[in-house]
Amino acid sequence: MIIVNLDVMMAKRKISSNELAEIIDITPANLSILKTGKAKAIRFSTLEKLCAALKCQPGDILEFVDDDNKE
Amino acid sequence: MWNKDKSIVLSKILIVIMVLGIIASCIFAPQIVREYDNRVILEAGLPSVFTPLLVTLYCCVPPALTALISLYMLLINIQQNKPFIKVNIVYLRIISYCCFAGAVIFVYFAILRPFAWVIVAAALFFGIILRVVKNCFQQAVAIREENDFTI
Repeated sequence: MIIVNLDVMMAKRKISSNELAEIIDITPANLSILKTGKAKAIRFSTLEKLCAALKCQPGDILEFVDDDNKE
Repeated sequence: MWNKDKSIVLSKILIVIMVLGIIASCIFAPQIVREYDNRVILEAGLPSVFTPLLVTLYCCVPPALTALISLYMLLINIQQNKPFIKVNIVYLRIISYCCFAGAVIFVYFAILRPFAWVIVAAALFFGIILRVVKNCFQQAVAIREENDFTI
Protein backbone atom coordinates (compact mmCIF):
# COMPACT_ATOMS: atom_id res chain seq x y z
CA MET A 1 0.00 0.00 0.00
CA ILE A 2 0.99 3.63 -0.43
CA ILE A 3 1.63 5.65 2.75
CA VAL A 4 1.37 9.42 2.61
CA ASN A 5 4.13 11.01 4.68
CA LEU A 6 2.89 14.52 4.15
CA ASP A 7 2.69 15.31 7.86
CA VAL A 8 6.37 14.31 8.28
CA MET A 9 7.45 16.61 5.46
CA MET A 10 5.27 19.40 6.79
CA ALA A 11 6.86 19.04 10.21
CA LYS A 12 10.35 19.08 8.64
CA ARG A 13 9.52 22.27 6.73
CA LYS A 14 7.67 23.72 9.72
CA ILE A 15 4.61 24.60 7.67
CA SER A 16 1.01 24.51 8.90
CA SER A 17 -1.87 22.80 7.12
CA ASN A 18 -3.70 26.03 6.38
CA GLU A 19 -0.55 27.64 5.05
CA LEU A 20 0.22 24.69 2.77
CA ALA A 21 -3.39 24.49 1.58
CA GLU A 22 -3.26 28.14 0.63
CA ILE A 23 0.07 27.78 -1.21
CA ILE A 24 -0.98 24.77 -3.28
CA ASP A 25 -4.50 26.12 -3.75
CA ILE A 26 -6.59 23.29 -2.31
CA THR A 27 -9.08 23.38 0.54
CA PRO A 28 -7.87 22.50 4.06
CA ALA A 29 -10.48 19.71 4.05
CA ASN A 30 -8.89 18.12 0.97
CA LEU A 31 -5.42 18.53 2.46
CA SER A 32 -6.68 16.77 5.57
CA ILE A 33 -7.98 13.86 3.42
CA LEU A 34 -4.53 13.64 1.86
CA LYS A 35 -2.71 13.83 5.21
CA THR A 36 -4.85 11.20 6.89
CA GLY A 37 -4.38 8.75 4.03
CA LYS A 38 -8.08 8.68 3.11
CA ALA A 39 -7.37 9.86 -0.45
CA LYS A 40 -7.88 7.28 -3.20
CA ALA A 41 -5.71 9.11 -5.74
CA ILE A 42 -3.57 12.20 -6.14
CA ARG A 43 -3.34 14.32 -9.27
CA PHE A 44 0.11 14.95 -10.77
CA SER A 45 -0.65 18.67 -10.61
CA THR A 46 -1.31 18.47 -6.84
CA LEU A 47 1.82 16.37 -6.31
CA GLU A 48 3.85 18.88 -8.32
CA LYS A 49 2.54 21.77 -6.22
CA LEU A 50 3.24 19.86 -3.00
CA CYS A 51 6.79 19.09 -4.06
CA ALA A 52 7.34 22.71 -5.05
CA ALA A 53 5.91 24.03 -1.80
CA LEU A 54 7.78 21.56 0.42
CA LYS A 55 10.94 21.56 -1.73
CA CYS A 56 11.07 17.78 -1.85
CA GLN A 57 10.69 14.80 -4.18
CA PRO A 58 7.47 12.74 -4.64
CA GLY A 59 9.27 9.89 -2.87
CA ASP A 60 9.58 12.03 0.24
CA ILE A 61 5.78 12.34 0.40
CA LEU A 62 4.68 8.92 -0.86
CA GLU A 63 6.05 5.62 0.35
CA PHE A 64 5.28 2.08 -0.80
CA VAL A 65 4.84 -0.52 1.92
CA ASP A 66 4.38 -4.15 1.00
CA ASP A 67 1.19 -5.32 2.75
CA ASP A 68 2.61 -8.83 3.25
CA ASN A 69 5.76 -7.54 4.98
CA LYS A 70 4.02 -4.75 6.84
CA GLU A 71 5.13 -6.00 10.25
CA MET B 1 -42.14 25.38 -17.39
CA TRP B 2 -41.50 21.69 -16.68
CA ASN B 3 -38.33 21.01 -14.71
CA LYS B 4 -36.58 18.39 -12.58
CA ASP B 5 -38.15 19.52 -9.29
CA LYS B 6 -41.69 19.41 -10.69
CA SER B 7 -41.02 15.93 -12.06
CA ILE B 8 -39.91 14.74 -8.61
CA VAL B 9 -42.96 16.35 -6.99
CA LEU B 10 -45.21 14.57 -9.52
CA SER B 11 -43.49 11.26 -8.71
CA LYS B 12 -44.02 11.90 -4.99
CA ILE B 13 -47.72 12.67 -5.55
CA LEU B 14 -48.11 9.45 -7.57
CA ILE B 15 -46.48 7.45 -4.76
CA VAL B 16 -48.81 9.02 -2.17
CA ILE B 17 -51.81 8.23 -4.39
CA MET B 18 -50.61 4.63 -4.70
CA VAL B 19 -50.16 4.31 -0.93
CA LEU B 20 -53.67 5.68 -0.38
CA GLY B 21 -54.94 3.28 -3.07
CA ILE B 22 -53.34 0.32 -1.30
CA ILE B 23 -54.80 1.38 2.05
CA ALA B 24 -58.25 1.77 0.43
CA SER B 25 -57.82 -1.65 -1.21
CA CYS B 26 -57.05 -3.16 2.19
CA ILE B 27 -60.29 -1.75 3.55
CA PHE B 28 -62.48 -2.69 0.59
CA ALA B 29 -60.62 -5.84 -0.56
CA PRO B 30 -63.25 -8.31 0.76
CA GLN B 31 -66.05 -6.50 -1.11
CA ILE B 32 -64.02 -6.12 -4.32
CA VAL B 33 -62.86 -9.74 -4.29
CA ARG B 34 -66.38 -10.99 -3.47
CA GLU B 35 -67.76 -8.96 -6.41
CA TYR B 36 -65.04 -10.33 -8.75
CA ASP B 37 -65.67 -13.85 -7.48
CA ASN B 38 -69.44 -13.61 -8.02
CA ARG B 39 -69.42 -11.83 -11.38
CA VAL B 40 -66.46 -13.45 -13.14
CA ILE B 41 -65.37 -16.68 -11.50
CA LEU B 42 -68.67 -18.23 -10.37
CA GLU B 43 -70.53 -17.13 -13.52
CA ALA B 44 -67.89 -18.89 -15.58
CA GLY B 45 -68.64 -22.02 -13.60
CA LEU B 46 -65.23 -22.11 -11.92
CA PRO B 47 -64.63 -22.82 -8.22
CA SER B 48 -64.51 -19.80 -5.92
CA VAL B 49 -61.16 -18.08 -5.41
CA PHE B 50 -62.37 -15.67 -2.74
CA THR B 51 -60.09 -16.81 0.09
CA PRO B 52 -56.91 -17.51 -1.95
CA LEU B 53 -57.19 -14.18 -3.76
CA LEU B 54 -57.86 -12.26 -0.56
CA VAL B 55 -54.92 -13.95 1.18
CA THR B 56 -52.66 -13.21 -1.80
CA LEU B 57 -53.69 -9.56 -1.93
CA TYR B 58 -53.23 -9.02 1.81
CA CYS B 59 -49.85 -10.77 1.74
CA CYS B 60 -48.76 -8.42 -1.06
CA VAL B 61 -49.55 -5.30 0.99
CA PRO B 62 -46.40 -5.28 3.22
CA PRO B 63 -43.91 -5.59 0.31
CA ALA B 64 -45.90 -3.07 -1.74
CA LEU B 65 -45.92 -0.48 1.05
CA THR B 66 -42.25 -1.14 1.85
CA ALA B 67 -41.35 -0.63 -1.81
CA LEU B 68 -43.36 2.59 -2.05
CA ILE B 69 -41.86 4.02 1.17
CA SER B 70 -38.36 3.16 -0.08
CA LEU B 71 -39.17 4.79 -3.39
CA TYR B 72 -40.37 7.91 -1.58
CA MET B 73 -37.15 8.05 0.50
CA LEU B 74 -35.14 7.60 -2.69
CA LEU B 75 -36.96 10.54 -4.25
CA ILE B 76 -36.28 12.71 -1.18
CA ASN B 77 -32.54 11.99 -1.53
CA ILE B 78 -32.64 12.73 -5.27
CA GLN B 79 -34.47 16.00 -4.53
CA GLN B 80 -31.70 16.93 -2.08
CA ASN B 81 -29.14 16.39 -4.87
CA LYS B 82 -27.81 13.23 -3.23
CA PRO B 83 -28.59 10.55 -5.83
CA PHE B 84 -25.33 8.62 -5.59
CA ILE B 85 -25.10 7.74 -1.92
CA LYS B 86 -24.88 4.30 -0.35
CA VAL B 87 -28.30 4.50 1.32
CA ASN B 88 -29.95 4.81 -2.12
CA ILE B 89 -28.41 1.48 -3.10
CA VAL B 90 -30.05 -0.03 0.00
CA TYR B 91 -33.43 1.48 -1.01
CA LEU B 92 -33.12 0.07 -4.54
CA ARG B 93 -32.17 -3.32 -3.14
CA ILE B 94 -35.22 -3.26 -0.83
CA ILE B 95 -37.53 -2.33 -3.73
CA SER B 96 -36.04 -5.11 -5.84
CA TYR B 97 -36.56 -7.67 -3.04
CA CYS B 98 -40.14 -6.42 -2.58
CA CYS B 99 -40.80 -7.14 -6.28
CA PHE B 100 -39.39 -10.64 -5.87
CA ALA B 101 -41.48 -11.12 -2.72
CA GLY B 102 -44.61 -10.05 -4.66
CA ALA B 103 -43.74 -12.55 -7.37
CA VAL B 104 -43.30 -15.38 -4.86
CA ILE B 105 -46.59 -14.52 -3.12
CA PHE B 106 -48.47 -14.50 -6.44
CA VAL B 107 -47.10 -17.96 -7.33
CA TYR B 108 -49.63 -19.33 -4.82
CA PHE B 109 -52.54 -17.72 -6.68
CA ALA B 110 -51.04 -18.53 -10.08
CA ILE B 111 -51.20 -22.24 -9.22
CA LEU B 112 -54.97 -21.82 -8.84
CA ARG B 113 -55.48 -19.40 -11.75
CA PRO B 114 -52.83 -19.62 -14.49
CA PHE B 115 -53.46 -16.04 -15.73
CA ALA B 116 -51.74 -14.81 -12.55
CA TRP B 117 -48.42 -16.09 -13.97
CA VAL B 118 -48.45 -12.84 -15.95
CA ILE B 119 -48.33 -10.91 -12.65
CA VAL B 120 -45.55 -13.19 -11.37
CA ALA B 121 -43.56 -12.61 -14.56
CA ALA B 122 -44.14 -8.84 -14.41
CA ALA B 123 -43.02 -8.65 -10.76
CA LEU B 124 -39.91 -10.72 -11.53
CA PHE B 125 -39.19 -8.51 -14.54
CA PHE B 126 -39.40 -5.32 -12.44
CA GLY B 127 -37.30 -6.95 -9.72
CA ILE B 128 -34.56 -7.78 -12.20
CA ILE B 129 -34.66 -4.31 -13.77
CA LEU B 130 -34.31 -2.74 -10.32
CA ARG B 131 -31.39 -5.02 -9.50
CA VAL B 132 -29.62 -3.80 -12.63
CA VAL B 133 -30.42 -0.17 -11.72
CA LYS B 134 -29.06 -0.91 -8.23
CA ASN B 135 -25.85 -2.30 -9.78
CA CYS B 136 -25.54 0.90 -11.85
CA PHE B 137 -26.01 3.05 -8.74
CA GLN B 138 -23.43 0.94 -6.90
CA GLN B 139 -20.91 1.60 -9.65
CA ALA B 140 -21.81 5.31 -9.73
CA VAL B 141 -21.32 5.59 -5.95
CA ALA B 142 -17.88 3.97 -6.28
CA ILE B 143 -16.92 6.38 -9.11
CA ARG B 144 -18.22 9.39 -7.14
CA GLU B 145 -16.28 8.32 -4.02
CA GLU B 146 -13.10 7.89 -6.05
CA ASN B 147 -13.64 11.29 -7.62
CA ASP B 148 -14.30 12.91 -4.24
CA PHE B 149 -11.16 11.37 -2.78
CA THR B 150 -8.91 12.32 -5.67
CA ILE B 151 -7.02 15.38 -4.52
